[in-house]
Amino acid sequence: MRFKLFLLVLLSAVMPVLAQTQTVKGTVLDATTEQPLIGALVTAGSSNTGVTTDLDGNFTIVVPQQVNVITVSYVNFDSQSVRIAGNDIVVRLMPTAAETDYYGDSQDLIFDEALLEDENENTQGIAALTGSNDDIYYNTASYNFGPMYFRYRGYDSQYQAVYINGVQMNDLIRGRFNFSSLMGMTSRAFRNKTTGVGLAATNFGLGDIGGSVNYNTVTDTYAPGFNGSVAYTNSNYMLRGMVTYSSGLNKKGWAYTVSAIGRWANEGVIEGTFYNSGGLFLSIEKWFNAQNQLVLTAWGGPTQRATAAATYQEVYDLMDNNLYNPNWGWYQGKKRASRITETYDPTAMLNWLYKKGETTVNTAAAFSYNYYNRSALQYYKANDPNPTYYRYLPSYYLDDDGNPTAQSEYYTWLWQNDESFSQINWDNLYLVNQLNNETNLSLPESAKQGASYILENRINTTVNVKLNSYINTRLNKYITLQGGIAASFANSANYKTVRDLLGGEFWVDIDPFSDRDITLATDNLVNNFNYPDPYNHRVYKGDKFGYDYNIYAFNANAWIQNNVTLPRWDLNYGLKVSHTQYQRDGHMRNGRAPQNSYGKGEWQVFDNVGLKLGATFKADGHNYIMAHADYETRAPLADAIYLMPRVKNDVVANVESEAVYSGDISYVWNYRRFRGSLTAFGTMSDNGIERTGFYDERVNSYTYFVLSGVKKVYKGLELGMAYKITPSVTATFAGNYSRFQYKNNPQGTHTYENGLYPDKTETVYLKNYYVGSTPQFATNLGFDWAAPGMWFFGINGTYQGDSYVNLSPAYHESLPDLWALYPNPADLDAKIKELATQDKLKNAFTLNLSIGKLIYINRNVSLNFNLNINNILNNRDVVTYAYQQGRIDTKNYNRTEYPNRYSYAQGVRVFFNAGIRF
Amino acid sequence: MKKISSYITALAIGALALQSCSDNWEQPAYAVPTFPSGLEANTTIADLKAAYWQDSDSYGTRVGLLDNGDSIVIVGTIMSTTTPGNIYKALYLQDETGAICIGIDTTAVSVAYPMGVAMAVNCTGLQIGRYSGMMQMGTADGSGVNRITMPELRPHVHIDYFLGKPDTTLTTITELNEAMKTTEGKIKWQGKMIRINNVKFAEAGQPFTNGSTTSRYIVDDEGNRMIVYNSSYSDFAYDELPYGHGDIAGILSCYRTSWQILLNDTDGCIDFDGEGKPEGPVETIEPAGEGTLASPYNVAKAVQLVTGGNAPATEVYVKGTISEISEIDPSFGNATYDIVDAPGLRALKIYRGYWLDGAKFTSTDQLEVGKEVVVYGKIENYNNSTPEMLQGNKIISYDGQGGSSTPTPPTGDGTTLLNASNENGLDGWAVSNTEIWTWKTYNGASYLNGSAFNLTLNADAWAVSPKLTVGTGNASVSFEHAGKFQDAGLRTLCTINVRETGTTEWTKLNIPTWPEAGAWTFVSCGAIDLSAYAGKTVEIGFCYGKGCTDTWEIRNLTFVNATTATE
Repeated sequence: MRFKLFLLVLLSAVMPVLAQTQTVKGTVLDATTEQPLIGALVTAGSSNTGVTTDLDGNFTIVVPQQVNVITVSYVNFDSQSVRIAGNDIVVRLMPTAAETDYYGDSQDLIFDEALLEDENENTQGIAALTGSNDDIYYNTASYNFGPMYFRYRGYDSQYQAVYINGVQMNDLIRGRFNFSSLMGMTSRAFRNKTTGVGLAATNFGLGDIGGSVNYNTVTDTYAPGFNGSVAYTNSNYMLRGMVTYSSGLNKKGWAYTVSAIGRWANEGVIEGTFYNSGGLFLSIEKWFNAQNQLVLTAWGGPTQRATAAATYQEVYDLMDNNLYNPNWGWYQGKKRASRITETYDPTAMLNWLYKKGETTVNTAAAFSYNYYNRSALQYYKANDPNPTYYRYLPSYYLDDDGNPTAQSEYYTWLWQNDESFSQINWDNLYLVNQLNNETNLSLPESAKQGASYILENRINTTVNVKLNSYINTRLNKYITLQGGIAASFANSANYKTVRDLLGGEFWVDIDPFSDRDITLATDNLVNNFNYPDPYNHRVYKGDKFGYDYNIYAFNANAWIQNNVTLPRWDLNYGLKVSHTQYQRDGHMRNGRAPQNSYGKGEWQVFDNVGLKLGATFKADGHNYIMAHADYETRAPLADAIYLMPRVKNDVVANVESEAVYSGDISYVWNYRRFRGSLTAFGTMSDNGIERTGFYDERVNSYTYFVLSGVKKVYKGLELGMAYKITPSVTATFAGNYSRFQYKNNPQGTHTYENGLYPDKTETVYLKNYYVGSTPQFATNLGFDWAAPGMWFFGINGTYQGDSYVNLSPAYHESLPDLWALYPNPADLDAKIKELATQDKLKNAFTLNLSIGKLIYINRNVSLNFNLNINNILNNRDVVTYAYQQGRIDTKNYNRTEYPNRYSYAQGVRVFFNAGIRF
Repeated sequence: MKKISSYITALAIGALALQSCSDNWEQPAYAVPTFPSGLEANTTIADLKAAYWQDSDSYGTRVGLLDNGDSIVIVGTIMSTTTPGNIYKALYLQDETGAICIGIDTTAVSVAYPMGVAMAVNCTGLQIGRYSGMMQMGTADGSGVNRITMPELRPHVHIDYFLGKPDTTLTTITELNEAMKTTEGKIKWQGKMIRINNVKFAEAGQPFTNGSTTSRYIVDDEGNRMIVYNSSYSDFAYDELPYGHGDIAGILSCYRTSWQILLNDTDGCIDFDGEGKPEGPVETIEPAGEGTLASPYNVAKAVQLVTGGNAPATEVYVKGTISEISEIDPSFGNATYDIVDAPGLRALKIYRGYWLDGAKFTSTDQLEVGKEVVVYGKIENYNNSTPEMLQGNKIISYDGQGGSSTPTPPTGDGTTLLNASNENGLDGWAVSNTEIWTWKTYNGASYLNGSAFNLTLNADAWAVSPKLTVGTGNASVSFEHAGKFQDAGLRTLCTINVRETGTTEWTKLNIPTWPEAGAWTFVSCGAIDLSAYAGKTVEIGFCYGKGCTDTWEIRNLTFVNATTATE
């Protein structure tokens, strides 16, 4: 009902005022300094007539009615084509400097790492900042705060809205945008973008509290010509090649852009990893007339890469290598990886662009298919194949006082001298399976044993269909109006398949966790009662097993916004309504939940509303004060609400939408040599839902853990400043001081996969603990010099920290047996305090250097070379990600029994790129 | 620029306002036991004890109801802990009026009922009485007061984490000795946590125990003594008693008419000043010796062997200094005493041993503390707590004075071959297949090993002894053997045989006793009669039969009335 009401409000606000003009006015600015560019050339469409900008960077051009694109070019700056929208166009040109290429390129690396997955398959998306904005703080955060997985304002990636050609592309199930689906083409094919920082208003949607970005792939916005580059780096991959060609709009109204990329590493910087990726991009435009154009964009390509895993500091110290990777081992003379990620995300999108006068309408249909597969070793009634299993570590054999024993010394020796011990012992896995086979020779068919070890695929495929339309129009001299409607549907399939039997004959599809210690409830080990022989169902290579379910998600939303421009004030306000629903559809009748695992569960329905306000007070031409406020309710993620989606349809009790309140206020100054901004922000999210998983020693079961009713507060100060010491030397400072905290004690629900215990819900004491694994302060000081002869030099240093380990609930619930070990209340108090302490990560300093050189062979052909050295001091002690294990030592409550796991950033990273364009 | 700074100031102040609220991490709520509401004592411990006190011993009484029909409920604080192991299967509950011991049949009393918490006990239905003078509660078993099991006790008690009021009463030995003279005194003091200031240990520097339950004495400045009663199961049993003056705090128990202090742990020895402590570190003695006459074990070695589960199966020689004499009994002619490597170190108890060369003791002053002895006998960790040389041992030398310098062989008038402590075990033996029959030493003990593991045997393998002369009359042979795996023909294919020297035909002898499969535990095979060979010269042959793959371990081939033949 609420939905319909808001729809009425929306419609009544739309009052198209149709006016036409043939005169286009605008301003051209240096995107990095916001200074006007004097004498920039502005041309319209494919005509050769043009004008140049005046002393204030302003221009006025009269264009034929059917033309809707102007092109702006300026020496040492990238040319840019912009669509005519409104009569007050601001064009910001990016310098054709080395560092801009570098930034784009280095971001590819960040995007590759944007999805982390821990041992327990909990994922954490890193909201990769997209840069390219005149906000100094935001740009610096994008390019230089990466090493510790800085998260903008502490938010999860689901709070960042990512659009492509106006279509919001965030995953309906997980909420985040998967940046790796752009295949590393962010520095070229996806170069054109508009970024809304924080709560700032944009024309393509109401965005989100973590900001919004719209990648523009409309064909005629690409500068015509060829661009090719080859790069070497010592990171996830070693080599990258990329070519792009844009035709420009021809006389028949056609334009196309094609691009191809390949990335490769036989072995990445982390031992035992590799990288193979290739991608294609295509954008075709048909210009029917001044009012109507059609644009088809399609891209996609497969990536296969081996990944590392976070592990214990003890292991890193044993191996004297913070990049130690447990996920590989020698097999037949080669390094073989166990964790291989395979992705393929082909996407196609058709946009119809309509423009009449000061009204533009962009209508789109998009289709995408996401394939995500991650391999992993699975074992049954056998030793854990993971070399870092805690019983394989020397610490397990220390005596009660923590002193070494003969056994611990022996294990230390093994770790340091025997790679069949410190890495996966593939030969042994094959041998064990082979022995099973030999035993089977003398057994009747029904008694044969399955494989003890297999390699499995954990597959997620999602089919997305999206429809979207939005309008941007001017109502009168002061007011513009934007609005849009969108609908999207996702069908996400989740299942496992057998990737490799490792020499075994077959795999018995029962739950290894349930079978671990019990025969109390024999049905619990059944994964699917619909099998002909559910207790002994055999699967072979390629067969589905374990779990198999789909989640369907549907979302429809509509939004509307006004921008009001007055002499001293700019105002904006907008409204959003949305409808979301989810359903789980199980394809297996699981023994742990035979009544509610097979077939479709109930639809989970959420209706939501959002309100956004903004105001800018223009004190004078140099000083501004801006404030924004946002209130919204948002549907919880499908990924979070299901208690145990692999098994059953149940959702967390009283599932409700999250409420988010956010506001910020900024002071912005802009003088010839000195500009910057200072922002204070505060956000509270209430009633959130988060899900994790871990192995719980107390019940010998893999456990899903859903926190509900979570309240968090994010607050802080952000400062960004740039000062031109000389016309060619700029000093930049950016920093923040923030606190991202839980602010209540939410309810936590444990769901045990072995099914032996009923779900348990109790209070989790999280109040005032920090959101983990992101620095809460970060500072950067940099100097850039645009030297004569088109040389470019940059140096900057980043110091950041106050990052904390991701919490495990086990340490923040009441521990009913702890008191008996600590009869004295003061001791008990001290012990609880010790257990509940959130470990802080080390602060980190990194120094980065960049050098660029641009060579013009002639007017049309240019070469560019950039060398960038990140972390030039080779600080190998930078923790990117850390989490506390879910299990707790219930015998002695010794925190070191199950220590934290850490991931480290690499040391020196070199990136060398050579490019040509003509 | 002025504007800039004023704007920045305003914003910073605004931001600081955001920071103002309390940011302390919230701890998880306590999950601790508490009394049900309204639960309180209706009887003091002193009243309970007075009501059921009997001057006679041992006979327990079932606790009944109050006059008004209510159950008797006492509430106190648990003042004892079983965790260090000195106090055993008991807890001591104390209120302002007194304390009572409750015997509980678990070693983990303090896991469920830790020290310092309050406990309410519904005494009605429990058994109460005195045992060796000490009043205690438990359950009925026959006529006494026995330890109650946890399932029986649980319905009778509640505990409260917060209400515990630990309290230690300062007293003196004189005051306690006076109190022992009256029933009121005993009721008041028995079981309480007490503290006596300014005492010293009579045996400062000695271990808390000498390997078994040990009474140590504290002495006050007036020379009054009181027992501190220590269990060898405690984790401080072999710590050193502190030197000098200090205070002692523990549970006041009693045995008949003498008080005993039970320490919860060494925290009960408070602020001892260390006066009189020898300079420098006390020497620790390395385990040494072979257990032979030429190289006897020292006490450290003997203790190490028996506590490590490696007690030799045969008699050994041990050398040490007498540290304490428990008893010399001229009527039986034996003596029980402790020997040590050095004062204060762990003792080996010599239990009911004989004088030089097995002679009987004739007077009670025949031994003297401080004298060095070499003793000969079998050693073991008696009752898993007391390293001990077993009854039947004898002194080989005393204070440097030997008896006969070569002792007679251990078992009568025979020879022992394949001696476990003999490094030259196969001297004189003829072995047909040295891959099958080998002489091995494991953990200091040697044996003849017969094994075809991983080997293919084409013929029976023989190990043939040196020639032996069998005396007239009864003669026999026995040996110790072990076999963990007996699934490949051990008992059928492996044999002991005898033949007269000069003949070729072996006569198979029946082995009376075989070891249990499943462990490498040596057992005696029992006596095998050799009377048929009286007066003859024979050889003994162990045969490892073709087709067997088990492992057979043999040692201490001991003859009675048969000795190695001289050529």
